Amino acid sequence: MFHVKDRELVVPGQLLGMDVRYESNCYAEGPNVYSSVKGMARVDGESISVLPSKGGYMPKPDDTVVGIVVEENIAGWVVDLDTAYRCFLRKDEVNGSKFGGRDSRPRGRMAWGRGRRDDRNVFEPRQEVKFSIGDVLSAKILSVDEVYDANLARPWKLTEGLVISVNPKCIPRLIGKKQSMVNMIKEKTECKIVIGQNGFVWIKGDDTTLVVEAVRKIEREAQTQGLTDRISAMLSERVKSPPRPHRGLGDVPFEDESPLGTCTHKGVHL
Amino acid sequence: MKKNNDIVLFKDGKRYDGRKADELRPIVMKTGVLKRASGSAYVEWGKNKVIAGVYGPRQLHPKFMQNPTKAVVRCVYNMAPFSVDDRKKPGPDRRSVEISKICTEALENVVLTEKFPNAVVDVFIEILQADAGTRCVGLTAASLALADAGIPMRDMVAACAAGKVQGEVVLDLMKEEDNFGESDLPLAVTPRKKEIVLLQMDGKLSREEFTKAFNLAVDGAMQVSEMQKKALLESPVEVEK
Repeated sequence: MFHVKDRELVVPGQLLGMDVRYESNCYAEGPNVYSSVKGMARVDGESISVLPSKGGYMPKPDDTVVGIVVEENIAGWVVDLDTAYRCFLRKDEVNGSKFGGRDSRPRGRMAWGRGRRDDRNVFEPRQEVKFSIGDVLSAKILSVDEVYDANLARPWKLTEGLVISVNPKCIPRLIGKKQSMVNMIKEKTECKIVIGQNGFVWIKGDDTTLVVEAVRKIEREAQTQGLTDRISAMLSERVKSPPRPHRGLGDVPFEDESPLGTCTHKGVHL
Repeated sequence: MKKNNDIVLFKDGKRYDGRKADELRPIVMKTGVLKRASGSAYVEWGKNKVIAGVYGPRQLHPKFMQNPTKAVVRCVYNMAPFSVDDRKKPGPDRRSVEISKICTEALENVVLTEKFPNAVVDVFIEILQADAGTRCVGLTAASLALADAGIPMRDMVAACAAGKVQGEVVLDLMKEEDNFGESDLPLAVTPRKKEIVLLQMDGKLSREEFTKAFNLAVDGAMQVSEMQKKALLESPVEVEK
């Protein structure tokens, strides 16, 4: 028997039901099921779960994330994903194994020059993809261990643009059903957007201020209905009559300013 | 300085500020007051003004303090230099170290620490204005801030004090009562099971008086808990049209 209705707001320790199945953010004591966070209860048939309204990011395999390189060592790069756990991108994942992995050819035979199967010169170093501290990248989470330390794979360097930090629990809303929300924003503002499940969002384009404004609005109003329509209306209105971008040095427009406007710098804006 | 006998704290069933023996001071609670914190709360309780901020779960350094089976909860209680009549010397002292410790232990009991191995949850309680019972106000605010941060908890923590003033057992002592009264009994409970997560006593109470003060404080804490729930559920979303 449920003690709460679907979409009802609940607080930690609130009784949700008795003898019911429960999923995320709930815990049971005997037959009673309680909420462990503040959020919205979702009743789905016979089971109950709670959607938290806030919370940190916990690494999960196959998540697409956006991160900032904070450290480099001989094996790879440590990437900041705004989580409590260490996320590591191995150099092997980027450039293949130096010491012969699954995909590498036997070095010995090539070195001796007999039976060479490609024209690669083993004595010349290969072109390596490199990241330096402060670089922004998007990647997939390859694996997560029992204490949530994660390994990343398939990195993609994100140059220029800016990174903003969003409440990770609002990311599903920001993406929308079948990416409807993010695609709509991309279409209307003609900006490039990469959303990480960890809450970092990378934006590049002419009107990043408008995108940031829309993202903040989504974050604020994540738990309301009809949000896509409101954002769409807001963007249509603003794109038609774009506000003068803030330049920080008076309000004098520059004639020969680059089309990228205020976002040409590589900056991290959290 | 006034002496105990100079001031009448309880007369005709009414207290120094006009409250009844089992009445709380007016309380205002707000969540989400700090922009950069994971969760935060502001509580005004009579003349007490307290702000609490939660940061984390985040990486714990130095690394040897990490626990691979559960998260560490660190609570810091601090009084602002301007929070009391005489300037309080800034920095930790014997009293604030003690209150930090008991608040940490109270909150550890409710946070589901096993969900965040190796991590730390930092809680900062800042007393902006003090008027007796700041540990109860601080703990109430800290619990609200934890819930606001979305940190999984078994239950909330609600705190309240009771004490003895001129022979009368009363709820929620104010500064004059605390200074000139005979005893003070702050306690914190988890409202669902009424488990005690903090219990201290200053001064002396007889067995009967203790039972009476204890029950009074638990009832007070339950009232505080209802206010906490209300503060959390108050719609944080304002839809712009």
